[in-house]
Amino acid sequence: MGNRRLVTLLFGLLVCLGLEAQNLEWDTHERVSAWSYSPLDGAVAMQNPASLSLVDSAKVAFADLRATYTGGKFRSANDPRFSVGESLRAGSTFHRGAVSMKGTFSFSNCDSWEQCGSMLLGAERYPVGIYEFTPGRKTHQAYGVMGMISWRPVSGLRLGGGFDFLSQNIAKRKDLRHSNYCLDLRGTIGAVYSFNDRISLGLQYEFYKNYQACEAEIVGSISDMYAFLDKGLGYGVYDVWNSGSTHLKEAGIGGFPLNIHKHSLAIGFCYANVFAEVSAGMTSKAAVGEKNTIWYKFPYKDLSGRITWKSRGGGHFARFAFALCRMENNEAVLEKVTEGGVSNTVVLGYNRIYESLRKDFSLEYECRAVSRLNLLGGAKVSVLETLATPSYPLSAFQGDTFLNVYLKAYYNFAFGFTPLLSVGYYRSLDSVDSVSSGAIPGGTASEIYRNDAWLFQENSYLRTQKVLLQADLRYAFAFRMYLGAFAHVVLGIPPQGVATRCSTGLYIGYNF
Amino acid sequence: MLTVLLVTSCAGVYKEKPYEGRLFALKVSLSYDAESTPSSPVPFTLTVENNGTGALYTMPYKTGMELSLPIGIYRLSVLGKDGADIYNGVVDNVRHLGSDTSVDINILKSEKGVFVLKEIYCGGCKKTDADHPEGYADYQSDTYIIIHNNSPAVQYLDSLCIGTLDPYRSHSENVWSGYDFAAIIQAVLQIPGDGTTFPLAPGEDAVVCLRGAIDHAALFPKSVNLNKEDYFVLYEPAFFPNELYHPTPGDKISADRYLNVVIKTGQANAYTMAIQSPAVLLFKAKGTTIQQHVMAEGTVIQKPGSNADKIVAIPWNWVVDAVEVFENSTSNKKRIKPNCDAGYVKLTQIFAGHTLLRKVDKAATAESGYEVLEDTNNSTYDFVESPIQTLHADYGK
Repeated sequence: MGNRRLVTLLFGLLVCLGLEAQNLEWDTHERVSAWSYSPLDGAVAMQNPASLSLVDSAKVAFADLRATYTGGKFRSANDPRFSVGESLRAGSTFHRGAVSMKGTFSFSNCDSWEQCGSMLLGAERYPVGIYEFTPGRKTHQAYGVMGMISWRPVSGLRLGGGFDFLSQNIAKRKDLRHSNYCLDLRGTIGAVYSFNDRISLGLQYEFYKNYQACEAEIVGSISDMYAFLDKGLGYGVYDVWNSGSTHLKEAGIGGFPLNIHKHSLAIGFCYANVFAEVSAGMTSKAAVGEKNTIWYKFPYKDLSGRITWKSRGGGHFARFAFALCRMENNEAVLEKVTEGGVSNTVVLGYNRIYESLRKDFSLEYECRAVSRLNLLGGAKVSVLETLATPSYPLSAFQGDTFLNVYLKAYYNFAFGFTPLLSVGYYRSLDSVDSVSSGAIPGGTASEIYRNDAWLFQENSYLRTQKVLLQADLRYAFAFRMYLGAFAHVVLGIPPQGVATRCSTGLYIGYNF
Repeated sequence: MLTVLLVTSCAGVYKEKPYEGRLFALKVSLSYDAESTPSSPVPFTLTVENNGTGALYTMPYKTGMELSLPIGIYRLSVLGKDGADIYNGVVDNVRHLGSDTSVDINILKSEKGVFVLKEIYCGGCKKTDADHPEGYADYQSDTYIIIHNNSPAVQYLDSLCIGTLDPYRSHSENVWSGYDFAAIIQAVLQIPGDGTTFPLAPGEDAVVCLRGAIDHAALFPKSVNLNKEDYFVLYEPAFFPNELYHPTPGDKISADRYLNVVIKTGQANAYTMAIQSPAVLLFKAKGTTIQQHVMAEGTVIQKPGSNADKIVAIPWNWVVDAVEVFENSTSNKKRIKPNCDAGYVKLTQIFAGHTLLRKVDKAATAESGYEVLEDTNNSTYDFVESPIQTLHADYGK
């Protein structure tokens, strides 16, 4: 839904600030290659694998282990009171002759206390959401592996292929308890043809598959635990979790299954120091439900593009990116047909109940002209429009415009210390909420349930001004090892006063 | 492709006319049987419900009216009153799928009942204690119904029968929809008496405990005290030996008020009324006795597709009163014929002490001097869900 998708904006800002960074050298190396980096997180799904050896043949490899504690009062309804996490990530590039390769591996574990809210992983991907409201302990684990290979069969032509696989699971251990399994797989093939040293043209195809299931249960004797199925802008069903109307428990269907199959094409063009790429994608399958029982179909299509300019010496970079995504959600009209004692569900048609349009624009500048210093600054504007039409004649609209600005700098001192400081600011520039109840000619329509309290809480959090501060100090010592500590603080500035949420942690790593 | 995506992606959401192109005409007409045709024009109220979303549209019916609605499966019902005569009609599962649809609703005439179901408490409540004031477990041994004399004369409860229809729950498949009888599942219960044993004055109530007639409230405060004089109880250990649900009745319950189990066709060791969505019937045999009826050939029928369940077929014209209870589901299906109950009442919460209660006809009550309840044979209009049982000590406080 629209405002759930806003969560992505915040995550995007965190990424821009480097809060997600695991290794400075790796991240900096990724940004050098225009083929592999966009200032808009997720705007380009994967790098064209054929481009691996185009820009840089430097070998970079690392392994990084870190522990993080997160807590603080400024949190959304989906955040835990506090959490403790550990993560391991390793990555490497490899170049030999006509072959280049890149790969990463990651594992993370996070234990959270007093967490409830969204029962889905990556809820921003879906137009429907499922929520429960009993705080309890949650454990989240993620395993990721990515690999790419590029091969140059003849001079000027590069072919490549790659995959990116992420497996996540989450378990909540207090009624209403649930277990989720979420798989994300990207497979891509690409080709790049270099006409000469200055001009290259690339073509890429990517298939993306997402599957998630949420299996809820209770162990205690209280039967009426409630769940909320959000169909958009707070309209939906708040009911006993296993009543059938929330779709958490239905005969013959495992959990709350969600499926996405998406196909994307991208064309990249590089002329001297300027790189431009545009990519377009659309779903061939995006559904909630399984077998014959499909409750929702939510096709979407997206379009993104970016332009990167690099100065001749590689000391300055300017980047512009945009992304558009249009999604709709169609609710099925279902009928159970029984023949010979066997019941089958038949989909008779669909009603559109939701539409959203998201537009992101980003501008970024990076300076590497000064030895040992890296400066990165940028701004991002996001426009989101969401329309919910849960039941004729009602319609509700929500429009939001958000601004993110950020500045990040780090300096590699000669004696091994690398301090990193960054600051970001996030605010709502404009927000519109409207409801049109419409009318039935000569009659009345029943009121449609809306979870106003939940919606208010979600919107309040997302529209609150936020200041993000990050301090990170790394010390590199013998054998390319490094140790570091970091603190990330998010200050929410709601009308009632300032509240904070802080992540602190330690890490140790090795640059091979 | 990129151009198309760019253009379609940049266009805003269609907020100005969000339903444009998504509405289709639904034409509604009424038809009457010879015996149901009113002598003078009767104003009808039309109710259209989307079975999937639960959206409910209500409007006065006009001849040849045409509605614009999105696709869906709808339930249409009309209700009209002409003095003591009540006109009901319902058409369920109207498939309105992407093209114009016509629906004809057949109107059936009915009259106000003598006995009506005043209250159905089937949803149970919570067991509580000092450590768990909100409840620590579910409790459902306190099921009861209340029968009300809605007529101006003394009526006798003797031989009045009680039953629930198959399927137990409203969202289950109804294999009997094509048959012209009421399919009583599990057992047929009957109030004893020789014809004049249990009189009920106008406006009086009779409580029938379908499980334990004990002081449940003494055990669990959210429950009710069913150990009171004049209460009827289902206590027949030969058929229903489960002492958890059928404990020995309390000291104030006299043995002559134990219900007769005319026939048991189910296999459960406790009488089963669905906690979520029963279809409850009061009926009385006509021209025979219920005991003779259940012995007649072709009356007890094996349920198609089941090796265990049998039903007792009861003619619809024996029905004294009936109430269709639906649960929170998009798959509810009518089990009761429209001239017995053209609507339904929803029980939205179970194990919460909620009960289903018939409304009071205040004007008729003021006029007649005794409590008269609404009886349009349409429980959508006649019933409400109450958050507390009327027999609970806190009711009305």
